[in-house]
Amino acid sequence: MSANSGLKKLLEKGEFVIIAGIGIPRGADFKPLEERYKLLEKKVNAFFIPDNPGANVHLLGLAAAVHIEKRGGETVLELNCRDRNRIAIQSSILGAAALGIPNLLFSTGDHQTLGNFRGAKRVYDVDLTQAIQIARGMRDEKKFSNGEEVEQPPSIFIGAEVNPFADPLEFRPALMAKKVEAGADFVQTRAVFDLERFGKWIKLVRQQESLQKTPILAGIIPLVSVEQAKALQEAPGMMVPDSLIQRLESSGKPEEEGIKIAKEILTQVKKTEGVRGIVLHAGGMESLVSDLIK
Amino acid sequence: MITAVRKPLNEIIEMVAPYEKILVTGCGTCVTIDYSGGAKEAAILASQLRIARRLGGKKLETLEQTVERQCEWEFVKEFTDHAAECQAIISMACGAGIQTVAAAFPDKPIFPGVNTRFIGMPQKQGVWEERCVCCGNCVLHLTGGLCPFARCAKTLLNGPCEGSQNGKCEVNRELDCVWQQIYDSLKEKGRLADLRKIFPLRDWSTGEDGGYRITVREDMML
Repeated sequence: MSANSGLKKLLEKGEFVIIAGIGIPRGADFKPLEERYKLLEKKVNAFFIPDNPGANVHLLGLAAAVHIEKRGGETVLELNCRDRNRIAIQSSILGAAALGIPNLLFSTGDHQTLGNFRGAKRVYDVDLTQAIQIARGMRDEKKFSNGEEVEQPPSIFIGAEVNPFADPLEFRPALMAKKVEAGADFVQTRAVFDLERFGKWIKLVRQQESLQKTPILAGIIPLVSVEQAKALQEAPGMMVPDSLIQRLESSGKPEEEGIKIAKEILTQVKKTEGVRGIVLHAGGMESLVSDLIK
Repeated sequence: MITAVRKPLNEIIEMVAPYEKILVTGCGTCVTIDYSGGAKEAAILASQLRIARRLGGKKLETLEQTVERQCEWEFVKEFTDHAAECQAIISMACGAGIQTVAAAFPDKPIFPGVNTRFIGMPQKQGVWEERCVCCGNCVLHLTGGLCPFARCAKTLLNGPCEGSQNGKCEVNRELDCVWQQIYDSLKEKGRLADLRKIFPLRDWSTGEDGGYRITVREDMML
């Protein structure tokens, strides 16, 4: 099972967990990662390691996760379905577990045409729900997806990406239920900006009996400028209300206003039933996130 | 039908630059219906190539011929006489037709006159949409008659993904999200419970991932 996961233990104890989504370097050097890690190491329960986010090349997530784990930080490693087929997914799960990565977050992955390598060939051999099913089978049944035996099952805590802001809203809880049925131990949401929509989604989720015990970790991205907020508003799967952009526009200091907004969202989601933690996506803004956690 | 679009003229001009007499062949089936490579389009291309060559101060002779289907030996044989007179052949058929012509006339250089796009249908006049990727194991009975392999950019089986919003695909907001459509279709049919089941892993080897495919029908063999 997932004996090594501190995240799992904290959630079982009922603690509210704080995870930092760390910015992964785009070069063959851990130094920027190290600096970002040091800003946050004593302030968060774990680090979320994104997997080539935005379909852009970054340093291999597994390498970044190992680097942080070696320094004592716990990690949640994202594995997307865009870049790996079932062979690579299973081998990544084994490799991550053998290297001591205790938590894996499975995602579909931003489509390759959204990044800077538009001509790349897609994989999507398995989808997110199936990837979770595979991971659970390897861990609990010691079986690969083809039924062959896993010599040493991976000790992993399995997470699934969910998006309260994607459509159709009324079907999203059923989709989440499929991921939980497949084997998700926890779910992580896309960044919350629209609290009204988030509230509607969580209400529907809470109505599903099978989902009441599943810890939900809410994503948060601090807004720092009008440009960034507008870019996020345009990004697929995101929902940034115009009112937040207006607040940034009318403020003389958008960064301060952004922190204020992030604090408001954080306070609100923390009060929401079912939300058991947050994932603060620093993505290069680690110093700002460090202040925010204070 | 198989749909195609004419290759850019400059690309074709460059491909056939070394030759002085070429055969431009059209196909009378799919690419005639979608106005990309039938007899009319073959005539237009041949004439454009001659004009371009003349503007460059050189000469180009063309022959044109269109057959019912370029993807069958019986029909491409009809090109034999014209092919013998020419140094090269342009085929305006789909990729299957071009390869049949290439195989039928192995001594002639063959050039594609179109880019084959997809199996689809004319959604309205002048607009064709992809509908089938020939996966070799149809699931349309499970998905409300809408193909998740042809129409979902991520070929998901447990969709929609996290980027579907307002019924549109994350790849391009002009494209409909097929999983939203599948949801709507099954809802209308009272079959939403089907979508709550986890679709198992798919065997992609029945499609393009299993090497190129050959269908053998012993009952049809002579």
